Amino acid sequence: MKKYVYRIGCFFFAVINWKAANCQVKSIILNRYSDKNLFYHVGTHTPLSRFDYQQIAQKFKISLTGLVLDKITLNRFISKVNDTRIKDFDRTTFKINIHNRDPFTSGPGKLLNTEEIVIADAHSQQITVNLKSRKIKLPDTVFFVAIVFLKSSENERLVKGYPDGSIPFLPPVQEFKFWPVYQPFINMAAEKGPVLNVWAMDSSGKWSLYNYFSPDLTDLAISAELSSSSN
Amino acid sequence: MRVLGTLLLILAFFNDEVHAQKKLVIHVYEAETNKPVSKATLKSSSNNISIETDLNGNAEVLTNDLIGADTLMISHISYSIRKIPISVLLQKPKVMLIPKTHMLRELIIFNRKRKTVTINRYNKTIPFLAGLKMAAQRLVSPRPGALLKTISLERNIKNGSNPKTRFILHFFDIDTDTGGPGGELLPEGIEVNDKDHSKIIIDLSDCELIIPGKEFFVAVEWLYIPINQYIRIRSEMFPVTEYENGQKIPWIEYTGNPSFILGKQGARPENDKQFQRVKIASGAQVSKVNQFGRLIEEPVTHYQYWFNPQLRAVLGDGPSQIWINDGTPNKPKWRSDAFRKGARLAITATLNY
Repeated sequence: MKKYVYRIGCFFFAVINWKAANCQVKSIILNRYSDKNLFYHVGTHTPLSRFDYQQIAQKFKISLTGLVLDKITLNRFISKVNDTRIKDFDRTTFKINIHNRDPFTSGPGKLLNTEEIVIADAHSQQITVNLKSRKIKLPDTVFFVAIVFLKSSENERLVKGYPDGSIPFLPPVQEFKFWPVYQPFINMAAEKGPVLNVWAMDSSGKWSLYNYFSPDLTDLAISAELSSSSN
Repeated sequence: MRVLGTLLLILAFFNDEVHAQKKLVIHVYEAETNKPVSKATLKSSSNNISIETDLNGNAEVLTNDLIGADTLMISHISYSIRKIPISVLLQKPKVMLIPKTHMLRELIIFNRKRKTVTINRYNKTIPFLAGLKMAAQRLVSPRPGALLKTISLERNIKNGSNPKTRFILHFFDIDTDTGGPGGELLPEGIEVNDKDHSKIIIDLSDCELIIPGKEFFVAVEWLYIPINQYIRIRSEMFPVTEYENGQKIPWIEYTGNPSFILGKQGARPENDKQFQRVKIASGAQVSKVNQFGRLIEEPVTHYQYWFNPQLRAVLGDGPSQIWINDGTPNKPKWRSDAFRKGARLAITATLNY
């Protein structure tokens, strides 16, 4: 009899604990960034480095597993130029991928979204993507939100460089070539964290830490809103 | 026997040459009176040297003893300590010491109050050049031996673009041969970080930086690092060119070079005959023209990165007071800048003398 009482007790204790763990998580926002002082962005060739990446990703860490990704908010560079000849500089279509952690590289691994997430925007600096209906469950305590650059003419923007691929510090006056880059140019968060959380996928499909702004900046201006699966 | 004697003499001579060491006589003076300072202690950063000046303010050191040392510290109970780079001393072995505060009180009794002055004041400024390694402004102190208190520097901040900047401020003695920046007065300079001020004031009180002569240079060294970058988007007119089949050449396939006009900026079709000889990219034969035979142009939007700080300059009369170092190999390190007539950088210095 004692044994059964103990077992029933354990069962209820487990249920209460599970409930507590899940019900605590009404909504969590990870990497909450300020939309002020966003002066740096990724996605462009600069005189210091070329940006030859297919994807850029922000790493997120949580203490619980089994939560659902409800919303993503990202902030990007907007041109703000008073020149009527400059049209559609900010227009873009891109994809978002959600990745699990790769156990070997600790970078982005298995894809967690089963359907494509395509975003089209013409002029917004801050873009919010509602993912509730997609029910993306996060099985691990680490996940990644990746921006996939689409190499289309709509996204193509130009920088004047040299034919060898380098970008000069001053505009080239004689020999030059227009080199393409692709929208969106995702802003870096102004708040500095203890570790670098930005990963980039190169043209061969290999992920590595993106340390262009290290050690001054550590995160992309991408926040993620999570809730428990019971919601 | 005579031959042997001669040989021995030659050997002895060479032996002396081998062991002879170059001596450097350092002269230490009081900055205000120009009188020699005796009993001043000279210590090298490598601790190889620790000597005192004689009654004439002179101290003799062997240059070999200076090997491995960066700076020489000159101290005296009645004067502020000075640290001078060895490289500066080798060029100009003259050190000026300024009396400490308690000595200044005595000076007040004799009606010799220290003065504060701000030099290189300015009113209207214009943007200065970009893309350099360093730019230096020549400044003139009212007296030798002045203490540099603050530097104030004006820069451009474009609305909405990155205002953050990190750069190195350097201080140079004058090079008597070129008239440009010479030895560095503060080894490695000072790193300056600023968030968003268009006028940056740098307090140098802790540096105890004494300007040995009257003339000196304050230079900004640009750091080409991501934190300083800002983007500019612009639109430029380019002639529309087609392949022989009539298909328009996409802009990313354009490659300009000196043999055709696309590589030149600011060319105007009505003024430049070369503009009619457009040949662009492989396979391109024709440029699109309108019914009057004029080239059809199209605005092309492209971006470029620039690096903070964007300094400002002041125009005036006479030769330019600015010296630049563009880091170009096979060129003199510093050259007088022909930016604009009588140009000065918008950098002021406050001195105590």
